[in-house]
Amino acid sequence: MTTPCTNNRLHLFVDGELSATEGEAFRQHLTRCAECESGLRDLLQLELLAARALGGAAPVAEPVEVAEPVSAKVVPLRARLQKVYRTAVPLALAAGLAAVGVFRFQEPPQIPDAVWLASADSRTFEARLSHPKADRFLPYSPMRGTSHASEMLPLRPLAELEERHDFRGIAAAYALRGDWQQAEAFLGREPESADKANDQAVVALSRQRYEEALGLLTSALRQNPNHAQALWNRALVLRERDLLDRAAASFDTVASLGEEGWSAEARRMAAELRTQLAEERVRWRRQVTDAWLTLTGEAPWDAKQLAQRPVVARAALYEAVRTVTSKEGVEALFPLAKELDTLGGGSVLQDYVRQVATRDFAARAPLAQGYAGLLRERETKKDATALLESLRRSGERDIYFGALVHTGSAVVDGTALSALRGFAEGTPDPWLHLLAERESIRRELAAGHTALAEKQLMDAMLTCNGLGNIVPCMELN
Amino acid sequence: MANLFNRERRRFEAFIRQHRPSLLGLARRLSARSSLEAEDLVQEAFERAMQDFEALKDRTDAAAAAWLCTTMTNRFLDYCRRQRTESRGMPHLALVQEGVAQGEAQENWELVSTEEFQKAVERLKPHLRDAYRLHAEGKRYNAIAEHFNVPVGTVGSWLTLARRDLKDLLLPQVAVARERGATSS
Repeated sequence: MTTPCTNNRLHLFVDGELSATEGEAFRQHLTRCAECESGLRDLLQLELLAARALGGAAPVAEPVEVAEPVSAKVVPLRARLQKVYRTAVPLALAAGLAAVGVFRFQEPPQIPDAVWLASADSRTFEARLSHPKADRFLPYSPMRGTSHASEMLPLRPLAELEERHDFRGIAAAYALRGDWQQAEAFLGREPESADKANDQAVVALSRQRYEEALGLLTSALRQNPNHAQALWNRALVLRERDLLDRAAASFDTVASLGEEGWSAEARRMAAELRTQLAEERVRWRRQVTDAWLTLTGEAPWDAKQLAQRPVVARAALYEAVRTVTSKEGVEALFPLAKELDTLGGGSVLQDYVRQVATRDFAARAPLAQGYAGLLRERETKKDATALLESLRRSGERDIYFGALVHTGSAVVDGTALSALRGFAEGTPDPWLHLLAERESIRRELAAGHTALAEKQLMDAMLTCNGLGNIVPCMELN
Repeated sequence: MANLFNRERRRFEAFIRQHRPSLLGLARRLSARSSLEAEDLVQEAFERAMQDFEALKDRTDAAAAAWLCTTMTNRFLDYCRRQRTESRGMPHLALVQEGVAQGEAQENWELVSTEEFQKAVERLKPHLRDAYRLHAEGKRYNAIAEHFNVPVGTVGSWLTLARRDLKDLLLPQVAVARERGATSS
């Protein structure tokens, strides 16, 4: 009878010459047989000596694929990574370097750049992460969007990153693959810093949580005013909220930091936004001017038709009320006010028209004409000091309001700003409130209170958008 | 302090570079056709070595290799015992790491240098020597059998005989070396 101890079983086992079943039986036998265990110890010492002395490769049986248990799918990251980490030590490195990384106090292993999609030739999202490896400048190519999502995240380097508590690095790896949920979870474990706040803002931005994103970026910039990624991302948030002018200003700051690639891109973005804004302003003013001329001209107009473009009609209505020189002229505007109130709810515009119709046009008419001149000669930047002074002393506060908004006087003149705000607060018209707010914010900006101003602008823009498409929110820029 | 740390680190890296390939070769043979990972065995041995490196770093290469071999063998036997208790549905018992005669095996072999081993191989009978060398180069039994045109079973016997002879040739030297060490100290 063949027992495990006979027939050179021990040698066959150590030489890998037993079948899987025989090998398994022998391993079980080993634990119960002192003689075999002792023989194994001796034999292994001899074979190790042989390997060292004769320098040959030890014979190895064909590797057996061991199916990963299903439970591996739910093993916590740490345990799973540890497993992968060990088994993935590449055989090719067996000459020595392989062991590097196995031990804590050794040179930390290089994390392969593939973790952060080193081979990518374009960015799939616009925002910038703080991790240097994830913040290489590449052309932005949104249409190639999800191609990286399927790119496998190598787990071994992730384990190493986790070991180093580089949660920001892990979050960046996930973010680059579009896994924002994982990215957010890992960022939660990162200690507070400007970088962390920036990366959290990128997550918020990806989820269209713009106000939260701006708050985080403000926090990042408070810690580091020249945080390139935070400045860049702030520009994106502001742009998403249609605050193109502020977005361009933030891109300008990024451009001034002189980063390779990013600087030129930021300059290009800023220029693009300014062009877009300038074009929209020109188009907007032409539309409003055309509608205003229609309302104040001799030719008949149709209120319903004009109200089909409520934003333009509303702006033109304010200008028309401010510039007509007779009670009849004002009353003729009533149908449009009614149409627009129907769209916006309430009766603010009808009330406004009724109230102006009661004014003394002997006193109002010259001021209305002066204001009309201001509108016509907008581009000539004619000195409006005298007109503003006359308006300030007159009781025609709505015209004074219009003139202050047009000339931007409230930005530099505190008294004018008070007057502007006073008038807005005295009316229930939300658009006038927003305009007064805008002038106030411009003053903050001029004083260098950028963060506060941008927060207020975001709030104003939110309020404006909440009004429905009845007021020109773009004018908040 | 940092320099000292770096020096130690470099020494340990060199230690790993020196011993890992042969140890890994052995580990692969032990883990062949099982779910055991050769790299796990080797890593655990080096983790122990790191803890004991203060004592290990000044020992001879042969002694360090013998120590690593013993440590890895212990890990392997632990694994076998664990497999056995698990396969029988028994609760995990405290694993007995100190096996039978492990100290003696290690002490015997850590005195043998690679030069002495090479000389001993030279003294083997030609067919045993050649078979053993071929095996040490990585040849499987069937390849060696083909080389000598003998049955595979014969190769197994030859290798067993070669190992027995090597042990006989080397262990008297070990006894002499031990005596010499005892006399000189």
